[in-house]
Amino acid sequence: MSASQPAIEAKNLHKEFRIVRHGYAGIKGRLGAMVRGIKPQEDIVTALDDVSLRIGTGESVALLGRNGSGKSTLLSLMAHVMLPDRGTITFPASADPAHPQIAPLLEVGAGFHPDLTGNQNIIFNGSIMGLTRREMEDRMDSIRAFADFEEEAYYDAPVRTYSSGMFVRLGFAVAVHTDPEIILVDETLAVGDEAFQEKCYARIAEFQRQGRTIVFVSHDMDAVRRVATRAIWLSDSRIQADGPTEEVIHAYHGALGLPD
Amino acid sequence: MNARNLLGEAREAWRYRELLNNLVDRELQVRYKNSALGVIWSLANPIVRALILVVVFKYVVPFAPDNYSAYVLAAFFPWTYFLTGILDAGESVSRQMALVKKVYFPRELLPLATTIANLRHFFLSLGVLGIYLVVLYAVSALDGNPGTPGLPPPTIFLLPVLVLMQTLLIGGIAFYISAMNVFFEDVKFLTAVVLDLLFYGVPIIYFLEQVNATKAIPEALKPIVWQLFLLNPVTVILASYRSFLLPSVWLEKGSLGLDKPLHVNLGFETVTPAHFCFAFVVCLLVFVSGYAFFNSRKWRFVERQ
Repeated sequence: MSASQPAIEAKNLHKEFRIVRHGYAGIKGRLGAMVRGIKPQEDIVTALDDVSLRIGTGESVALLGRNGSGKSTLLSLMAHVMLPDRGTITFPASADPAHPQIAPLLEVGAGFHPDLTGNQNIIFNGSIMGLTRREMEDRMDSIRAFADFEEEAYYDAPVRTYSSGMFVRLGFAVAVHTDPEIILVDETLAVGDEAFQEKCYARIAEFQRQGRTIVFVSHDMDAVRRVATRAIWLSDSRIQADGPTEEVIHAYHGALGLPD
Repeated sequence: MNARNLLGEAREAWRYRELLNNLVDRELQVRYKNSALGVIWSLANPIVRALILVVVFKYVVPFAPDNYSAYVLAAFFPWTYFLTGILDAGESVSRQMALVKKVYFPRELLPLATTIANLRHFFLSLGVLGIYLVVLYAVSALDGNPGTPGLPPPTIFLLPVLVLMQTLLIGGIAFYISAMNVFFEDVKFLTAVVLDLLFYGVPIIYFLEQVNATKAIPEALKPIVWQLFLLNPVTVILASYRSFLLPSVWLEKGSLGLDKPLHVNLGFETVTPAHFCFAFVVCLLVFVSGYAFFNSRKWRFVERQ
């Protein structure tokens, strides 16, 4: 792993979605449209258009932009749940560039099964991130300390009985204990009480000290200022500005007609 | 990391075998989540079914041949594996969209996990069937020589091959329908209807040999119908479970509505080795082509509207 290698390198990313508009989805809709002689209308929505960027190892970068500007698509491409239509995205600095260790803190707890207990979900979620049962069991105490439930018994209760706050706390606790090289954060910090939010920020600061790479999407500029040293403003599927956080926030707010 | 050939995809999936194992465990844990007896139900289900069929064919249905229940069960349990395997697979991806949209892992693990979870259940029902057959063989109810305990046919050693080819078939169909069901939820309902019909189109509640003996099919058509039956891998699989586990029998005139005695030779004479090999190849092709189909669609799952 050489320090000069970027953690994430995106070249000429292009991504578009086809949105089919006819009454019903599925076979019935297709048949219905055919019988009535309507051609299925396909709208092509471009989510990313020729986006190139390099994110260095250890950088903390915020993605700014209005809804539909392509932030989430870019994050999904980084998380490798989507493939670009054109262009490439690579992780040259990863120990195994084909399998970068990415912790997607996108809707934390997405992998939780409501009928399994907290403990069962911890083990299972870990294995999605590529950790063995043994490795997760070693981290169990630390994960529980982070989630910090009022009663130990909650860890043995099905997660469907959890409050939404507990759900997020456990999801976050698992995600930050998976040795990620790259951490993708999507608005997750807005949930949980203040004390928990502080703990999350502390954990992110620790990640930053450890030299891990963070990509962060938020509409909360205080959070952006706190975490990111660099910001990228996406608008109309393209990069509008890329630079130090304050400058980019200033330009972004200027375009929106908002004060800083 | 983008386009990969099928072998490369399979190698990538193999890297995630621990996750596959956990997905299977999770499936089994969830199935009996709210029941006190838990996994015992997986055992109770085939036991109750076996008992019902034994009682029905011994006391209720007239003209049933001896030990008919054993012959029905030998095909019925594999059919249940086929049925539940395919029905469960239909939703294996669409139920997990929250996960699929957020985290990378080889998506084919989802239908594979459902298939393996059902395979584990099938082993339990095979165990129940095995115990029943051991009892029948021990009291020499299943042998031509009264008084001496019988032995199953030597083809019983081919049982693992049979389970393998059935699992390949189920896994292959699971790939097709789990991928299609993401885009068209109708697929799930259509599958249920097709499976309901197929139940009568494969030899479960009748013997394969009866197809040739029945008057319902005109003589001229029989050779064609017979070949059509044997080209269906499900027919071959179910008939082979019987022939691998149970001895051949003479069905007497009058039993099962036959107007003349019928020899049910369940060895490789009815399902010939050629038919068996053909069915095996079909199962393998369904699996490989299903995997290719799934892979060609799997990156579009997250883009579904």
